[in-house]
Amino acid sequence: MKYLTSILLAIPLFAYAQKSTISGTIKDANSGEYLIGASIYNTTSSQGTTANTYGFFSLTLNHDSVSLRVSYVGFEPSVLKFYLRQDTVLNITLMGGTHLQEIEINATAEDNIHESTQMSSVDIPISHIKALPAFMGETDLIKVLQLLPGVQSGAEGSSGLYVRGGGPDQNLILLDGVPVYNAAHLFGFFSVFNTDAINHVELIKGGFPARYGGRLSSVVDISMKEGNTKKIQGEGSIGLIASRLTVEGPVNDKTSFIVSARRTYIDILARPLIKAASKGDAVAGYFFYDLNTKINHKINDRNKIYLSAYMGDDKAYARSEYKDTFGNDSYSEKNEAGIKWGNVTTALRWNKVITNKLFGNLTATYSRYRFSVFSETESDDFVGGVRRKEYVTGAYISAIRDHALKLDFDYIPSPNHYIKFGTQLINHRFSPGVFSYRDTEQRDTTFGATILNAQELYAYLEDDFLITDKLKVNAGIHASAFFVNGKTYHSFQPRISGRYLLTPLVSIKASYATMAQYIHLLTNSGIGLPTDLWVPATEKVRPEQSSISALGIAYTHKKMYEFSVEGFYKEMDGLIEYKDGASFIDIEEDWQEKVEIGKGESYGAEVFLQKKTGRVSGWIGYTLSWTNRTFENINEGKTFPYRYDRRHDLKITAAYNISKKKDLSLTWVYGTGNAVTLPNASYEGANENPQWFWNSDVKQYDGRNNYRMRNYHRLDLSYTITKVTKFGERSWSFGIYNAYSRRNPFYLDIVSKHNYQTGTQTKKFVQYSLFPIIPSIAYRFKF
Amino acid sequence: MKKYFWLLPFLTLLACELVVDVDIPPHQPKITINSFFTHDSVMVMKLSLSNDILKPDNIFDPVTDAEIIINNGEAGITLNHIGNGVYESDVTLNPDVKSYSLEINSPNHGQVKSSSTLQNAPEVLSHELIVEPSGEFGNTTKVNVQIKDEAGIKNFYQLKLITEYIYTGSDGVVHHQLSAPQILQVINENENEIIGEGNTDPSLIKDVLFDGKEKTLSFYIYSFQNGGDTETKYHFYLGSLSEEMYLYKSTAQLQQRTSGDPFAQPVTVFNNIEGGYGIFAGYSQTYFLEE
Repeated sequence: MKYLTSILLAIPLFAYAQKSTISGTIKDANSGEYLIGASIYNTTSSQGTTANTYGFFSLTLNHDSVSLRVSYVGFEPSVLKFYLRQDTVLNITLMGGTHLQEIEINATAEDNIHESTQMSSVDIPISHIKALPAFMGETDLIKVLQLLPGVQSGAEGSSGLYVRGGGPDQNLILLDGVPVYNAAHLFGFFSVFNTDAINHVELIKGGFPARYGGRLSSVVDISMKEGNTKKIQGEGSIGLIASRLTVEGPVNDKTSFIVSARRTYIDILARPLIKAASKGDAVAGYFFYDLNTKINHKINDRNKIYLSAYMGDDKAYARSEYKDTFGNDSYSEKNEAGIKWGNVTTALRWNKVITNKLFGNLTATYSRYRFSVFSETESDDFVGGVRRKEYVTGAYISAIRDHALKLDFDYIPSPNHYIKFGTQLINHRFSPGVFSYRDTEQRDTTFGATILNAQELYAYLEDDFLITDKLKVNAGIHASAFFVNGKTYHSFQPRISGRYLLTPLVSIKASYATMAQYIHLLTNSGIGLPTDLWVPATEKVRPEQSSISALGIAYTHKKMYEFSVEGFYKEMDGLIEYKDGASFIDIEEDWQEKVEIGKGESYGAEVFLQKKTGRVSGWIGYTLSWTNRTFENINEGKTFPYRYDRRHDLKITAAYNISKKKDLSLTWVYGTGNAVTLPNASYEGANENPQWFWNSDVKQYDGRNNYRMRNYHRLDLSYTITKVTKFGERSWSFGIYNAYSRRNPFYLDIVSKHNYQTGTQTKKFVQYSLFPIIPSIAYRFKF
Repeated sequence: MKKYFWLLPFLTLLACELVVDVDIPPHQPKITINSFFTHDSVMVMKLSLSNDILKPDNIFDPVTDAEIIINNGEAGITLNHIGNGVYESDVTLNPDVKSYSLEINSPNHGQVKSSSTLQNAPEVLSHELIVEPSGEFGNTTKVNVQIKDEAGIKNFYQLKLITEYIYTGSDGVVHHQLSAPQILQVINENENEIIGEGNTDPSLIKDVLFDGKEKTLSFYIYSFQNGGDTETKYHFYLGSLSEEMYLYKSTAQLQQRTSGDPFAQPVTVFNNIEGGYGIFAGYSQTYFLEE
């Protein structure tokens, strides 16, 4: 009774306890960039929150003395103490350093892996991405993500992502909230993301928050920098195959910009050689470029607008020219043929702080990926006083184009709740394999696959809420619908993840999420070739669906080491594969006739030990997993291992800051060999008349992906010397890819060899490798 | 070639090759059966042994010591070895018997089994030969065959042509020269409706979309055009294949077609031999002549 009286007396006190909200933004003091995910934590009441993607935070506390500790990895924490009496706006800046110093271990509890409800998620500081060894000196965001547990690269050198047994199409890669459909340059050896233009990147492999949807296996959420609001500054690099330059700065006190460009010069270097070889008639080459731009304008303290764009293309081409004259007559002809592909993404965004607890975000986006094989011939003849111009162009085009409108809100009513809700409408336009022909007489003939329009609509609601001091849950629902050719698909996807603190430093975590994907990628090679076709779910080819469950333990040691172990199980349905022998360029056949629909599963465990701070940073990741596929008409309906089923996968990265001027880094990867389909026997083929002398032989395959290639392992090293001059920072970076020149398998073939001396013939399995040891050098600068 | 000079740097990277051992268990040779049979004919079968995939040559050793027992529900049929692994029955197959099962015993290579079913011969309602001028390349010859598909049964059709050239030689003797059998490809405008969904071979026709209906199938004929007084006769055999034969032929052709394509998934060829490899499948056929 005594307790009951106490509780009854306390209720009015609780009900009438006065509260106010502290809201604002957290920025880098040097550049003015928002610090996404920065933590703000009241040590007095042990309550805190984090800044969202736009640097905004909101923390509602009782009227009392507060001691706010603001922190972000790589920055010196800041502590503010005051008495909270009324709603307060705080625009906080943190001082950063060039290297991750020991002081960063003061990061608040909210930074720690065991505190967050989110599991199966990693965010990597951009500085660490830049510190790691890079293939041919080109820092690559996707290649660093491939070094995380549960993520695989697929084939050697590829920039594909295979997350927990999923395919390369099952990753939602968002650049400033806009999906990027093909993130590969140079046939997959480089990704399209220029790290100089990136502010933040996060990879989510499971336990997806409800705000994400549309892909089965992962979310890669990349935020571009917004441009230095304090001063004009730049950085760039000159490498073996490409150079890049980024310039950013304020236009005035309310507007800032960033422009970042990169281009390869393989074509420029090779052009004189090719011209010489062709005696000046032909020019051929390959190049890629990308351009990131962003401009943001602060209308007032509550309203901001952003316009960001990405544009990148790859082109491999051959050109020839012919000119001749006979008397008064002249003849000329120009030919060009090649292959090109590229993405364009654009986002126009309006941020509004509606109240100090409610943040809104309206975004209009455009995304386009296009691939084409083209051939053009132009002739200009002057014969007998008559001029005759003719042209013929042909192109095989595959494209996907999206227009979308998105509305998102963050509502933070109290430190115990962080509610997000919103909706998006996307109009997809698919052109999966259209052949276009034009000539002087018959213009614009188009045939091949039909152009399809489809609409995708979704809405979500999620709340990250603290139930008790130990139990915190993120629960939500993602509802989506897809409209294509009069057919409607819909999906309700519950999402839940939570953590329970076993001790102040150890938590047990669990999550469950279902996902739906309404677009498919048709791929022959699985190595991310531009020929891969994006196609929608249709009446014949249903959407992909998955459910993923995970259970794990997270532990933070001395606020410096993060350790997690996770077990996961993922089921996938509606997966598509080309039928045996089908080809992407067979334009006479509808793509829907070329595919099989089936199921997949992946399960295993991941161990991750990460050190983000200090002179030595890096991680060790290990994955033990099984990934299978089952298709009714493939492998006689029997379950078979996925091509990138990898039993053991170990990755080690380390960056060592030897001194202020010297940095050393390494990565080492080891993985079980990829599954491969090989014949084990051959036998005589049959025909109606067995007495005929010729029968072709038949190769016998005991099953799909029935053998393994050799194990994969590779060591990359990098050494960087940095010098600060009065003009800025200069550095030379020396790298070695595949330092001990391991011949890693790319593909296997059976090769017959004839020995003319002995007259004997042998057949052997031959393994082809792509990259032996490759040294690189890059010069980097900042001003 | 000059146009592809720019690929050279990439090709040099690809040039790293290494002979490797793949952990493939040693292959025990198995009996391979090669037999397509039809009614009103003797049954012919070739038996050979499969090879390890790394055997340097494509020579398949014949199986000469096999005992072959065919059971058709009536009397057993015996096949006799006539040389080089080829076995032949001494009686023609009874057109009224549809189901055949097979058992082969070899003292050195064990036992294999299989079975197949013959379909009814296709009902040809009419046929016509059309010769159309096709510009500078001479005439194009086409044949239209109207059939009545058997309802409720999965039918698989194939049209085989043997062309007969009849001419009088300089010695005054009349010569009859027969071409090799030629499998014709369907050329109907909407090919998918004819050959059936999922089929990529226009010489194999599924009845999925015209089950139980009358249908006209059109085929081009590519034949050597003799000049002068040569008379040409076209001997057509419209086959109705068993499903096993259809699956074997379509997958074997697909494996051949995609062989060497690094981007295509390998094709597994259909096999209905228990304990061995190959095919034992029946077909029935209807003959007609066009001159």
